Amino acid sequence: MKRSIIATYWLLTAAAFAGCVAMTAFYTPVEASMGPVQKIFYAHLPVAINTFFAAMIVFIASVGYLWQRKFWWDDLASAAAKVTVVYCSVVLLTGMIWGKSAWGQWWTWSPRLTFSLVLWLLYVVYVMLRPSIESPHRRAIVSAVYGLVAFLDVPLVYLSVRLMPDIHPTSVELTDPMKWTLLAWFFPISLMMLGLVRARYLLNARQRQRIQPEVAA
Amino acid sequence: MTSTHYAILGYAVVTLVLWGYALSIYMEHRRLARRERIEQADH
Repeated sequence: MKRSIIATYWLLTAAAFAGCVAMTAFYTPVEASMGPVQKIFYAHLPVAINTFFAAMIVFIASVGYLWQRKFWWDDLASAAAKVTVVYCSVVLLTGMIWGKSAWGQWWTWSPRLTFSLVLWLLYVVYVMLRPSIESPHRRAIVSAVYGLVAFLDVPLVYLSVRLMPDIHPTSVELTDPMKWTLLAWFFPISLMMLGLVRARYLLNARQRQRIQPEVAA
Repeated sequence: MTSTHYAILGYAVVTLVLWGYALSIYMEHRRLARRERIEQADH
């Protein structure tokens, strides 16, 4: 893909990101009960949703590898797994910051927070497991099976707050400016997720081409 | 820390982690491209 298109993509993402920060700071009103810290929500939710999407890419790519045994599926799954870890880290950190301000504690073992931490750990293990397996075929198969199983935690994270008693909020009352800000944040966060997965995938593919040129993609 | 400080900290985390990771991938691409250029020049 032409460098100019990639550069435009990332410039657009950066501009949208900056625009959303400005929108959050100057356009969105301060929520009456929680104060300014509530504004973390406008980035926290889109990052959380995109964490699930990144995990879904790992799942689909894992199925793809087990079905076709083409290494580009493995490169894609590995790329998406790393992005899942990064995004999930942001979800946990922003959640903790919000929790410290709102509840007075950085962490509580509520179902949603616990399942979210498990999600993070599952994908960290995925990323750490791979370099320990020397054979590219075995690494791809083990990663693919693990990627299928790890995704099972995603519905648990999503549904836990609805099925079990939880301190984590389930629904929030939003005014129109708040709704627009929340929707706006999905744009740069989603563009970043897709861009990061693609960039990491290309890096994986190039590295595989150098290290194992005999392995067909 | 006030509520505003926590909000700023939250957005600092979002910005630094996501853009930091993007930058790290970009730097790795550049390192790989430089290595490939050197290897090609050797050949």
